Amino acid sequence: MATLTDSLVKFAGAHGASGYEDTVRALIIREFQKLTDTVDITPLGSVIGVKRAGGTRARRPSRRASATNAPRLLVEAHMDEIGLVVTEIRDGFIRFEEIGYWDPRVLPSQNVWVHGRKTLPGVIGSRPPHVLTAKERKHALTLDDLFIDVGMTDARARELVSPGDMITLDRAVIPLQNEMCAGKAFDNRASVVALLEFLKQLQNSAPAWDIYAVANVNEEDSPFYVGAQTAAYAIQPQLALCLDVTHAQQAGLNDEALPQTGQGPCIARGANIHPVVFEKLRQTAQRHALSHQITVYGGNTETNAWMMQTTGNGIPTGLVEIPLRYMHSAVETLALSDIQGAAQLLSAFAMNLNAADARALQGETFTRKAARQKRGARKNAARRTQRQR
Amino acid sequence: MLLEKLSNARGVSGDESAVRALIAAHLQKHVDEYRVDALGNILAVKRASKRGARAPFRILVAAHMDEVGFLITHIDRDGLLRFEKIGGIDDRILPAQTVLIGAQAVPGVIGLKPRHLSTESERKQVVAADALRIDLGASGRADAQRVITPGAYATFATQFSTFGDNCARGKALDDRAGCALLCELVRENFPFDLYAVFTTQEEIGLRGARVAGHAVAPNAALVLEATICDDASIRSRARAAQSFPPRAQAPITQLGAGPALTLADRRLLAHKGLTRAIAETARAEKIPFQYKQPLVGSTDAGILHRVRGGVPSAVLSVPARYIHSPAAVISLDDFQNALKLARAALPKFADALDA
Repeated sequence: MATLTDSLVKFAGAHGASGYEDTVRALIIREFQKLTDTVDITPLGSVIGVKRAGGTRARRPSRRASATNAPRLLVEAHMDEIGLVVTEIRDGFIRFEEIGYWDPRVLPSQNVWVHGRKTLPGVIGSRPPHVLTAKERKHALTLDDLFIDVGMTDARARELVSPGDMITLDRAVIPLQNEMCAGKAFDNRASVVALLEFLKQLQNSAPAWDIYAVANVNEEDSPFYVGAQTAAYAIQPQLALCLDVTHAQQAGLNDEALPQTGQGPCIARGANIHPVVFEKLRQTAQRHALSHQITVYGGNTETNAWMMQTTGNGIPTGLVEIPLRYMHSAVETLALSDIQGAAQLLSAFAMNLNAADARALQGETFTRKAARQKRGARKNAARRTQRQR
Repeated sequence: MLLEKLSNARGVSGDESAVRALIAAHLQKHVDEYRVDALGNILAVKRASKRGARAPFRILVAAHMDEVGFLITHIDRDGLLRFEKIGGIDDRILPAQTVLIGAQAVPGVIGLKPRHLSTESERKQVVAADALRIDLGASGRADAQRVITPGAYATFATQFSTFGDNCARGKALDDRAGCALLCELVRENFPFDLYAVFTTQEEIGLRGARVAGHAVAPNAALVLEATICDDASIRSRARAAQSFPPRAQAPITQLGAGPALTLADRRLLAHKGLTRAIAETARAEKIPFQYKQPLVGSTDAGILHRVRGGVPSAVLSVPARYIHSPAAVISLDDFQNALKLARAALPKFADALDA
């Protein structure tokens, strides 16, 4: 678990809100270069690392997306995190808007980084209780009440910070009891860590399919999942797996239907998930005695899986989730064992894939001509047997 | 930096021992004697460097060691911790904060259920502290009990850092800034007996100062504090526009404008002679200072000025934004100027009372 913690510290500690993924992308490219045969960047900034079927061969970077005829497995995680963006500087203080889906109630008194011409530490200001009326203290804070203090004069702040600059949380990973951790951006760097761990576990093996590991941009900021959609379109895989986090049982919720942290990754089921993919994931977990949980979604899973499924001619899609408490806050909390479990499930799944699986996922085709030929062939065969009698 | 160590040290009202140990170690190098009393106050004496003909003049200079924080009251069956706030903390800053619990500094987090699972109307409500829990990552009550027992104190987990234009960000700057100033003052030699008093339980009702003041029976008192600074003009876009006519929101103090001198607060009318002496010293020495907006807040001086037969008292403060939060902000220029001003003004207190 120690290396997993290091990896989580590294990737959750990197800063990259949707649209501002450069730093995170650079880290991921470096890892992909060690673990895959080719690394490509899509026009929108997603990273695609390809590990060729039959094991790692030459490390020569290739611009060609597909050099083998093996079926393609896409495994993706989004690399962006929710963040904030500078809109205005007044008297040295900074106003901001949200990138992604925040509850502003988790923002007051948080330490942040303002990524201007320099990376500046700051704090989201809150007013002292001494000066507030009882009524004011009952008013849940909204973005209109919040501002960032970088401890600078107006002139200095304007010199270093501009509207449009990214702001992210300043929060190191906190080790909790039972190999749990709390921190920022576990949504979805925990999945990035699992994706890299998955590639590491495949290092000395030779899967029958080409493995396309993808770190996607722009999941948090748009309902269109543009990173995942465009990367999946470029790859046109026979099967796509999405790795993301999901809500776990946690303080403030009394819902035993939710998965629990530390009980293994969740395999999602529902309209967004191809039934064969779900079944195969579950069987893989059972066969390898991997602890796992099932999450159920009637419709939208609100992950990249939702858009990948309808990309191109449609892609059989699965979803593996890491249970997370307090999502979209500076204290997202998870169990390291669930990251490990997700990686194990994925690598076992990838190793088990064969040509028959590709055929099973192909769907069905009917043409009158083919049917006639088939019928004809059957008749001929029947005649032959009659004659033989 | 002593200020950094003091800010990071953990000492909620009633549990000041770690801060006390830090300060006591420093005092041993600089004072003639000190004792720790029944409430945990440190009463240190540095005698006058030169004894004049008249009886020694005793000035009590106080800073409080305690900080706002939490007390663990109960461990739920699922291993989550209930807590009570110690001191004035706004419930609205609690979600998504991290804390350190007990002497072992066990980390915990205060989670809020995600926006995805909250209704529109829930998001407009403040979650009261008693509905929040501290999450240790424990699997259940027994698991949590391995590391925590009810009655453990918890503090915000923020680490001190400097940033911006010579500013500092940290927890407990109210009143470790005052403690740090007082620790600096005891290095000096003064023509009066300096009673450096580090008090306990200020945040829950100025309780340490009551007995410390009684024991010392000083001729004059100066309280060194970190005080409210609400100077962010940007602070509320929505409500500034809503209220008509716009409600003037006084900043109480301004960051970077020098130490703040109290004229009157909720519990004190500062002694005019002492206050005038401090202001005149500042002007003479060209040390920037400001007056704190009157009638807001209170300090140990609120009790010190009425122990025994009464003690002429003044308050000098370092303005601190976001006081009582995990990350207060002070200007280190204000801090240095407060030190300069206290150092220069204290020797004038005796004459100021004679005048």
